[in-house]
Amino acid sequence: MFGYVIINKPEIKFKDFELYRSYYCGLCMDLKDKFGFKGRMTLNYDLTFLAILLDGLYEDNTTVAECRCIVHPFSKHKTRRNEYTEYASDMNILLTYYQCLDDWNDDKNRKKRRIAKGLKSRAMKVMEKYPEKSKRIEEELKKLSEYENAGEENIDLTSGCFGRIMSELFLFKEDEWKSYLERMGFFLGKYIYILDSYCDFESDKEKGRFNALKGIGNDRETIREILTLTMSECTRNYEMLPIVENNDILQNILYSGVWTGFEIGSVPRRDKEQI
Amino acid sequence: MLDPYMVLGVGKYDDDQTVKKAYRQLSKQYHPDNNLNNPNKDAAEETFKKIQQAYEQIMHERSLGIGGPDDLRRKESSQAGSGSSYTGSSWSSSGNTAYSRDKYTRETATKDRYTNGFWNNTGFGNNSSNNSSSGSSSYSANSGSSGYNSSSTNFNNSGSYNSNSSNSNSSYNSGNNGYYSNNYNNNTYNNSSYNNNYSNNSYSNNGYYSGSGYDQSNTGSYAGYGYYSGQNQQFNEDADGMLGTVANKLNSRKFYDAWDILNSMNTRNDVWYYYSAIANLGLGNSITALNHARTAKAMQPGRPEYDELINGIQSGAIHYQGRSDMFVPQKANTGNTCLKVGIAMIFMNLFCGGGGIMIPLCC
Repeated sequence: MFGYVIINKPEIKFKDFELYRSYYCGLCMDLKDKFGFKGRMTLNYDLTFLAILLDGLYEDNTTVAECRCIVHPFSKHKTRRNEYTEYASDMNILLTYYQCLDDWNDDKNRKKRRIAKGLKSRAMKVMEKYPEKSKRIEEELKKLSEYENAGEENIDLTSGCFGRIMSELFLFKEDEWKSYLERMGFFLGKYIYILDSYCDFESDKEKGRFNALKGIGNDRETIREILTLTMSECTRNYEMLPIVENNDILQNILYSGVWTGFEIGSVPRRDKEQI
Repeated sequence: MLDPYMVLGVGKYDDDQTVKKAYRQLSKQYHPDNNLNNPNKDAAEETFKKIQQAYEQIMHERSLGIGGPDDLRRKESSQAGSGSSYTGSSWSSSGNTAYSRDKYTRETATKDRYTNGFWNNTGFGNNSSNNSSSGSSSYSANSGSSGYNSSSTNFNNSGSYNSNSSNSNSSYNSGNNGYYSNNYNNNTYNNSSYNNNYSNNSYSNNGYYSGSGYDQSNTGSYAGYGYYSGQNQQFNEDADGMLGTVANKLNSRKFYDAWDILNSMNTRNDVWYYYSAIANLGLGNSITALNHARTAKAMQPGRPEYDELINGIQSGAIHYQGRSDMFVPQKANTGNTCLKVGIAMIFMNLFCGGGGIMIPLCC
């Protein structure tokens, strides 16, 4: 379910790309420092987006440093770390843990179970820090599971669960921006869930697995309409936020980058199979 | 009432970034968190509230197409008679699709904080009702209704509608172009031309501002829905008497309750679908909402409310599409063997420039 909230690289300015990467690396460092190697393995772009969003909104103290690591051993990269990358790292662990558990429960995916086991103690720490948030996320995942087991075809219901999970993640604190962030998260979460279903539609069908789009099908234009409707709600709330600094990156992602997955998912399967 | 632009010290047609920068600067100065040691912190807080309100008002108006450089361009181009300067795409809906229409499962969704009107700002782009007595057709001739699929309906003193534009917050009325224009300002409709059950419905607009800048509760901001007020409704005795209750619930933004009642009803006529669309919108179920709005229209074509609802829901998407089209999409590499690898390839491209390999570790 991860990896859809990315930038449209060719369309981004170089300086913005560097900025984006610095958050990514900053998040990576936070994960490493707090949660070790296993924590670092959970790094993803979606939570990087969250860190950039929150930092853009609140603009608090940021530590800029440099890092060199396994993944890019040949050059040093700038890192940006602050309260929001730290928060994103917490949420990263939590979400990955729950997702892996979920995948194990649904598909008996052994690899995911191993990962979940490995993350368990770290995830527990995060759950202690955010007990209510964790509880609500768990509840939504449970609800989602129930829907999936029941073969629920109403896409709003299924994607709504994931939407509310993202909402929880986006709700950094209770302040004047709370409602916009929550709604933004809600619709982004829905978008991710629907897009993921779209991309998995054919393989799920083949394997007889649940797919949330069963009642609707995977006609490209139908799905595009649904996704556009959803993203428009998300961005409507985004535009209410007084974000100046990271606005270009965030707009690139929200208006364009998120569609990359859709473009890829729309490539007909037989084309995909050509090597 | 203070001019919000004056409060922030920006011009009405300045771009969003300018407005946001101005807000940020003022916010730093007057935000309560930054004034803990200030002897005048109460005064600072009052000022901050005004700043917050002004900002939200401006941004909300802009989402309706009022203010900002686009609005200025439209005004200028319409004055020059040169037509539309908006170059966004004209994305149109694909019509009735293969949605699972009647699979409205009776769900006992939990009554958590999300369900009862929490998502009150979702989706519903009320189409602007032009309260001027220009007597024009249903697509407003107000200047610059170009580009956006301006679905403004004129509830003028003509035909079957009597519009009483009282309390017309005039800044909304000119927003025929924006999406989510929010113009049900106490208009009353006599649906005498319709042989239906709903006469004398009045759309009440809860108004955008609940009076407190901090109030983000369900009944506060973005109460931009038009729905039946429940007053003076006459129902066909054969129909479930419940639709009246539903209307009341919608009116008081109890979307979950409305949805619950709707689900328990057996008679599902066009009005049922219309109400259901609104209830779903309030709950954030915009896809179902659109689906049901279309169903209502299919069952009873020719009712402008249904068209408005459909257009309203879609107008935001049109605006979004316009902005999205300004980017060139990042396409797939058709040599990929599967989706996840496809995304991984993009990941690698994203970061490989630095000399390293990025493997998506946990998809």
